[in-house]
Order: sequence, then C-alpha cells, then structure tokens
Amino acid sequence: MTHHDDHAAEGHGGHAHHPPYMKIFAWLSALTIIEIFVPFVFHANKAIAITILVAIAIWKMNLILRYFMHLKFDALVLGLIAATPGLLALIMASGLLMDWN
Amino acid sequence: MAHDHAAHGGHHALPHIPSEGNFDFTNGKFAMWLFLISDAMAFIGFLGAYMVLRMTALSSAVDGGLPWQPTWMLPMDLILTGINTFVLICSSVTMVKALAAIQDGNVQKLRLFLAGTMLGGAAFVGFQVWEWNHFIHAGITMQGLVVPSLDEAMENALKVDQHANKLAMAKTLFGGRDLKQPPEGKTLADFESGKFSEADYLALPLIMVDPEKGDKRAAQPGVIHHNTYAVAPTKKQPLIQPRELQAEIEDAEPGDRAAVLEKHRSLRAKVTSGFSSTFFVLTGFHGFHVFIGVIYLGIILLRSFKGAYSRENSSSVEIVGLYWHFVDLVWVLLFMVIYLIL
Amino acid sequence: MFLLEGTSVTTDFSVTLLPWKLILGLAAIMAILRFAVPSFYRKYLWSHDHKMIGKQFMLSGLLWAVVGGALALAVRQQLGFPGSKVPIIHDLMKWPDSGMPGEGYNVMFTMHASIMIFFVIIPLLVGAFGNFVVPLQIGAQDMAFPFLNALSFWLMWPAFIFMGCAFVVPGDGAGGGWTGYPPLANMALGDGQTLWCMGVWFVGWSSICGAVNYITTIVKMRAKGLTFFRLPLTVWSIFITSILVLCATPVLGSAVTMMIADRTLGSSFFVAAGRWVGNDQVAGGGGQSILWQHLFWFYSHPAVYIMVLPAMGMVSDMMAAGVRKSIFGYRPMVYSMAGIAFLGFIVWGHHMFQSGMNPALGRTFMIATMMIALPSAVKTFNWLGTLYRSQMKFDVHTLCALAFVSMWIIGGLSGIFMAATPVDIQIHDTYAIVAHIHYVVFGATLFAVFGGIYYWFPKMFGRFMDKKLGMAHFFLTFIFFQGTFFPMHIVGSRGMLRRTQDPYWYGDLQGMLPINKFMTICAFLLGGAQIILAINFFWSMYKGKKCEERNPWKANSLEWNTPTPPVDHGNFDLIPQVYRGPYEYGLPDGPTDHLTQFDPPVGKGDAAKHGAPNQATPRHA
Repeated sequence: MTHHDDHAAEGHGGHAHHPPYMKIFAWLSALTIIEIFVPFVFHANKAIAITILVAIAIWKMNLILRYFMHLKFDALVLGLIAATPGLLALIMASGLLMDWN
Repeated sequence: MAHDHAAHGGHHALPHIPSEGNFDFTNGKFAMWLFLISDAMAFIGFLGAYMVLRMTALSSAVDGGLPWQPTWMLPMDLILTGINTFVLICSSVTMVKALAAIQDGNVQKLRLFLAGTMLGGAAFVGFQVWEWNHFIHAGITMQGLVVPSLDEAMENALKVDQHANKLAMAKTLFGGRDLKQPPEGKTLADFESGKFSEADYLALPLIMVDPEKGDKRAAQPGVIHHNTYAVAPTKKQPLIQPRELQAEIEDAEPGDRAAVLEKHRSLRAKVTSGFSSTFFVLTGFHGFHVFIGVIYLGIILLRSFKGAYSRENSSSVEIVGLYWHFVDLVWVLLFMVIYLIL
Repeated sequence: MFLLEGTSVTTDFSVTLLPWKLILGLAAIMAILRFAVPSFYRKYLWSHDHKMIGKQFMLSGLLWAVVGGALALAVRQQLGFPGSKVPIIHDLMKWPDSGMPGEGYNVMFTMHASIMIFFVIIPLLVGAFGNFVVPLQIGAQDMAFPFLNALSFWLMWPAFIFMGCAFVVPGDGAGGGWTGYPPLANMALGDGQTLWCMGVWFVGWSSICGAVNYITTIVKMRAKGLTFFRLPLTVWSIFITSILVLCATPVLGSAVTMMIADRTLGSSFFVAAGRWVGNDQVAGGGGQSILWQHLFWFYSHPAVYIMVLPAMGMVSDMMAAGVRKSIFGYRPMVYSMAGIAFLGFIVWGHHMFQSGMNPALGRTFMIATMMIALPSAVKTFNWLGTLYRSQMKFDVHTLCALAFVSMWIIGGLSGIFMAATPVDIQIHDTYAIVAHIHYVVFGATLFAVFGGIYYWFPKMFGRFMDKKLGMAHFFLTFIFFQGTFFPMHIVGSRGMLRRTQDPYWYGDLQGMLPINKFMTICAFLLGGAQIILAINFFWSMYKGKKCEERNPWKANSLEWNTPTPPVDHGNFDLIPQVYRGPYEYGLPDGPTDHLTQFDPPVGKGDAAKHGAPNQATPRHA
C-alpha cells in the first residue's frame, strides 16, 4: 500500500514508484502565480479576494501534505495527527472571532 | 483495535495474542509528526494573535491608533516575495527528489538534491534578512513605525494609490490644521494643489480636538495624533513621552516646528503598530525554522558522505523532509495572511 | 510600548545575564562531572534510564514542593496574622520591618502557584510517574527516545534557574499572578517578570519533549498482546495527557514569546491603544490585553486537565488493586478521559467571564463547561461502582485513592457552580475559586501523588514505606487539608477577594479575621504533616522493610512482573506476553483472587479468549 511496500515488492533492481512530484511542483507554482494576481484583480472586493486566497492556500497545503509529506500513502493515523492542529485552529479562531465581532 | 482471531486458531495451544504494536512507520517518523503538530500549534498561537490584532486595528484607530498598514508606510514588495516563495517551493521539490533518489539507492543524487535544498533554504533566509533590513531602514521595526517625512510618505503612498492627496496625507501625519491662517508666502490654493512643504504645513495652527466632547474629527481612522508617538527608552536615551513630544512641536515657533520634528525623527520616535509587531515575530519565527532546517539538512548531507543512507535505510532523509515540507506548508499560510490579504 | 518614567521596558541586561551565567555554570559543572566521575554521571545525572529520570523528576518535584509550600505558608501567615514577620522568607526577601509589603505578597502567591503547577504537579504526575510507570506497564525496556527523555528533565533546570532568579533580581520580582495578565505583567513589573516568562518557556519545552516521547512509546512499544484496550488506565491517562501537552503547550509558548517581546523588544501585542497608565496615555496601539487571556487559557485550561488526568489514571490502578475488584466500566473510563481532554479545548473562556468578553461567547463557554460534568460524573460513578461491595484492604495508597475521589467530588461540584456565568459574577476572584482549585489540585491530584508514592515506592527502591507513618501522614494531611481549604468556600462566597494583601482593609471583611486565623493554623499543621512524609520517604529508602517479592500488592499490570527494583537499563528478564486486561481482580476460585496480565491463559473460560478483557470471569479448574 505504501511506496515502501511497492519498492520492497520490486526487489533491488528497478526504480521505486514515486508520487508525481514534478506535476505537484507545477501545480504549486501555478497556484502561487495565480495567488499573487488575486489581490490586484479583486482589489475592489476584499471578501471575494480573501475567499479565493484562502481556498488556494488550503489547496496548496493539501497538495504538500498529501504528496510531499506522503500522507496519501501513509497510515491513516498520521493523517489524523496532521488534522488535529487544523481542528484546534478552527476552535481557537471561532472563539477569537466571536469575541471581537 | 483488538482483533479476535481465536476462532481461527484451532490448532494453537494458546489463544491468539492480538498485537498492534507495529505500525509500519518508524519511531522517528512518528515523533517528527508529533513534533510538527506541536510546532503547528505554536504558529497557530501567533496567527491567532495576528488575526485579532489585524481585526481590531481599525477600531483601535479611533483611540489614536493606526490602520493595519498605513498608506505612508513602505509597501511590501509582492513580486519579490512571490519569487522567494517560488524558491521555497523549488527547495521542497528538490527535497522530495532527494528522498526519491535515496529510495532508488542513488546516493550521488541524494547529495546533489540535499545541497540544492540547502541552497534554496539559504536563499530564502537571505532574502528575509534583506527584507528585514530594508524595512528597518525604512523605519518599520518591532517597536513600531517611524513617522516619515511628508515627501517620503507621499512617495510610499503613491506606490499603492495613484490618487494619493498630499494635503490629506499631511492631515493624517500632523493632525488637522487651520488652513485659513496660511504662513507668509503661501495661499490656501497652494495647499489645496499640493504645492507646500512639511514645514509650511506644520507652521499652521493645530485644530484642537477634544474627543471627550464628542468631536468627531478625533475619530478619523488613520490620523496620527501627536500624542501617539514617543521615543523609546534606550540605555543612553530616556523615554520621551508622547505629550512632551507634542508639546515640543506645538510650543515651538511656527517656522521651527519642522526642525523639532526632524529632531524627533533622528531620535527614531515611533508610533506602535500591531502590524510591525506581528510581522517581525511571524516571519522571524518562520525564518528561524528555515535556518534550523538548513542546519538539519547540512547534518544529513554530512552523514550521507559517511555512507549513513542507502536504499534500505532512508528513514532519516524522510524525517528531515517532513520537517522541511512543514516549513514550506507554514509559509503558504504566512505568505497569504501577511502579504496577499491587503 | 512606552511607559511612565520610572518603569523601564528595556530590560537591564546585566541583571538578566545572571540566569544565563548560572546555566552556563551548571553546564560547566556537568561537563566536569562527565569526565571526573563518569559512572556517577551516567547513572545519576545524565541518565538515559527512564526509571532514574522518573526518580530525578520526583526528587526535584518534592524539593520544589517544599519551596512552593513555604511560599503558601507565607501567604497564609499574612492573611491570618497581617503584618507579622514571616520566618526566614522575611529576611531573605529583605522586607521592611513593617511586615510583608504588597509587592512581596504578589510575589509570594505568584511564585507559589507557578512553582506548584510548573515544577511540582506537572513534573510529578507526567515526569515522575509517567516516566517510571509507563514503560514498565507497557512491557518496554525503556522509552522510545532515552536521550530526549534525559533532555526533558534537564530542560527543567534552566526553568528552575530562571524562576529562582526571579526572586533575587532587583525590582519587585514576578508578581503578575501565575496567569501573568497584561497590562500588569507586561507594563508595570520589573525584570523578575521577564525571568518568570523565560522559566515558563523552558518548562514548555520540557513538557513537549516528554509528550512526544510518551506518545511514541505508548503507540509503538507495547508488549505483544497489549492492545490499546488492555492498557492500564495510568497509561491511558498519560497518553491522553501527552496529547493535551502536545497541542496546548506550544500556544502558551507563543503567548509567552510575545509577552517577552512586549517586555524587552518593545512590541505591542498586549498593549491596548489609548490605555491610560498612571497619568499617561500609551502611545500608538494595535495591541489587545484580552488576547493574552485567550491564548493563556487556551493552554491553561487543558493544563488543568494535564494536572488531573494522570492522577485519575493512577487512582484507578491503585483503587482496583486496593479494593480487589475490577474497575467498573473500563472503556467508559477511557472514553470519558478522552472526552474531558477534548472538551478541555473548548471551554477556556470560562476563566474570562469577567474580562469584558462578548457575552454570547460567555454563554457558549458556560454550556461547554457544564458538559464537562458528564464525563467527569461517568468517572466518579465508575469509581463508586468499583468501590461498591468491594473487599477493601486499607493500605495507605487505597486511602489516598478514596481521598482523591471524595475531594474530586467536592472540587468538581464547586466547579459546576463556577461554570455558570451568573454565579461566577459573584464569586469571580474570590476565595471560593481558591477553594475550588485547591480541592482539585491539592485534594485530588496531590493525594493521588501521595498514593502513587506509597504504591510504587517498593518498585522504585525495593523497600516498603512505613505503614504507620504513612497512615499518620495521610490522616493528618486529610484533616488539616479540610481545615485549611473548606472555610475558603465560606469566606469566598461571602466576598473575600483573593490576591489581596490585606483584605481587612475592607470594612465588611474585617469579621473574617478569626476564620482566616483558623485556616492559617490548619495550613501550618498541614505543612507540618508533610514532615512525616519526608521522614518516611528518606528513612524507608534506606531502612524500610525490604520488599522481597515482585508483586507486593498482588496487582495485575506488567510492572509487577519485573524484579524489585528493576535493574538499570532493561526492565524485564523477558518481554512478557499479555493475555488480558489489567483489572482481573476478585476471581471467586483458584489459588489467587486475581489474574495478572502476564499469567498464561488458564483454560477455556479465560477472558482472553473472549476478547472481553475487563470483566472478571470465573476460572475453571
């Protein structure tokens, strides 16, 4: 299931299967370029700009977590560990937002 | 979870021993993940502070504070930081390539890519140092923002807003002043068309505002009241209180006020700012992580020369990779909240 | 952040260099010992053995408890006998002849709480018992990362030095309360407060290193057959506590970092714009004082569960062994601990009802807080269910477990009162709060710590603690504990404020002097009772009755399968196989009334076969 298993199965000769790193790299670069233009394009409407920026950032973090940090190929428990700070950040943010709005 | 395979183990003398102690990750990898969530929580603490301070920046302006990033402040350079972000992404890719190389048993490529990753990280830190230096020279420090001269302020404001108005800027920086009593040689029209200097404006009498009596002018966001900046105490220099600075300016002869203000600037009198506090702490904390990451990568690189890694033994490379990608991950977030959400 | 004349924000670095010099000195001494007496150094100082590190934590925790206790007595003396000279401390702190000054009183209660929480309770529970017991109970030879383990103890030393130096640097010392609220803590106090922040920062690092280690050890290194739901509750509680430490402590770390930046670098995180201090308005702005409270309690509310969950686990183990009965509802015990841990993250605002926080948020936090009563009640009733119709053996640790449960009920009930916003408006910042926290942290947790010491002492040192002295210590502590802290409920609901140097300055509190005198006398006797523990502890270490057998309490978990005491590095002769859960007590027939986790299966009816690890099943001959 993991790429370790894959390459154990392949033995010592061939190359292991690796996630499509260059494809992810292209995605990340493209998203970064789009990101930089967002504040200029949506200068008038801050809400739309922020929504798009947050969506792109979450997308980028998802790519990094799943492919570069191998969560897609790892045990579920590591994914759960990685999700914990996200949950706690939501809790903290909702508390803080409620207090100041 | 407890698997009960007792029913299948008919020929065993002992009941089946359920065991789940062997998840297929190493102790080190698991511990790195745990450390990373801990680290993430530290960043979340800083980001929570950033969010609150930013949300409240405008309302605190009512009390004599500042908007988050005043237009007279040196604007942040989005394109340069975007390039820097790209550098960090590249270093992330070289990191996964390094891991892929050692998983294929290619130590040469591992070293090459590790060195590339270090180079990317070092370039990133280098740019951050340059940016900090640039900011500090432009008067943005952790203690706050040095009030610029009117010309500098206009120069900065024109970078973000082509229609910036000099008279409005002067009002923001030096308080509302009575244009009906212009100094000699200047007319009301000169002020309105922007043909005046800082000294000319400061020579005008101050309109005293009293928020206690419901004077709405006191509540204009972005207006620096003179009682809001101060000279920070150092070993050689005692603290100068806001009211002393204000009194010094207003008590001077109209023509000398600009010189007094220049003296305050040379003492680096500042207005405090949530933006500058959080900017330096967040980018500093992240930059420190990158710095530590470069050293960590260097240790791994050195050990690779001692033949520590092979196809079967690549766990350490994977662990340093986790740390490195986490640093990249955090930057995705910081880049968005600090630089992109304007 | 800019202030009045006279209060400087720029730290005088020649003063704050003192702790760094001491830390360097300590490192130098360690380096010398490393080469002068290498075997002593390896065995007792930089030991990588989890049992020795546990003992190091225990010794340092107990020694700091003496300091923290002395500070508490100083506070009590001021409240019971205002203006009198506190012995020793008065001279050490160089107070004037007129008695304890207000600033001195602030330092006393601040450092009492800080030391008790950061240096005593958390290190004793997680550091000492966690270290000693967890690897033994999961059948591991050591922790996953022995070096990290040693590091987590030695990271406490910079914290010890910083907090200790907070007393001696010029200025008023750290007097911001253990909560360190701004603007007092970042604008008005001297260098001592900066050192306090540094101390907290290092304690945080120590805790995080420990937590990473515990979680990895528990997840990866359990003996064969020891599934998660066969773990003793002590291990479960340390596991859940470590998750709390891991997720909550860094937030305090970042908050304290911002506080240090405010104090030394002049940033303005917690300085509100337009705030007046003295006669001057604070310049500029952008800061939020209440932000500190949010971040602080985001850590410190989970931290109160860090301070009690391990005690709950230990008490469950001691109680089951002491009353010879299976823990009633093992899985609900685990789930309720997890529930408490999760709820601990969404209730921080109940410390801030009076802070001017959004009232709608107050209601949210009130309801969430009251929900904590549910898992807590599940645990309480499960303990009562365990006790019901049990065959109790009155060992000291059993009594301590009983004290834990009863004090937990009292402290828990007063907690529910405080969770309600309207009630909290009345009793906020009064001695009712002080009573509540001491019922939970002293009455519950510290009794569990005492019980843990009596229970695991034979395994630690190979000798029993004296039972008669233990009984005397227990009963005296219990009685004087009630005398000290129960009246606080009364004076608190009557309106006596905490953190007030001389409450009798208020006319309507003058009548409370006699009851305060009573509390103070009880507090001194309570402190005196601990001398019995100290004598018993050190006497028994060398002269106590030798423990010849491996399993003196006839308990079930794996630590009782090791030699007494376990040998250095490597606990088990042979890593045991585990066949069942840890609470198979009170079995009706057979040679013993219990089945340990490592006893081989005894036949068809053995629980192991049914995958029902926690119900005692009759054994077939």
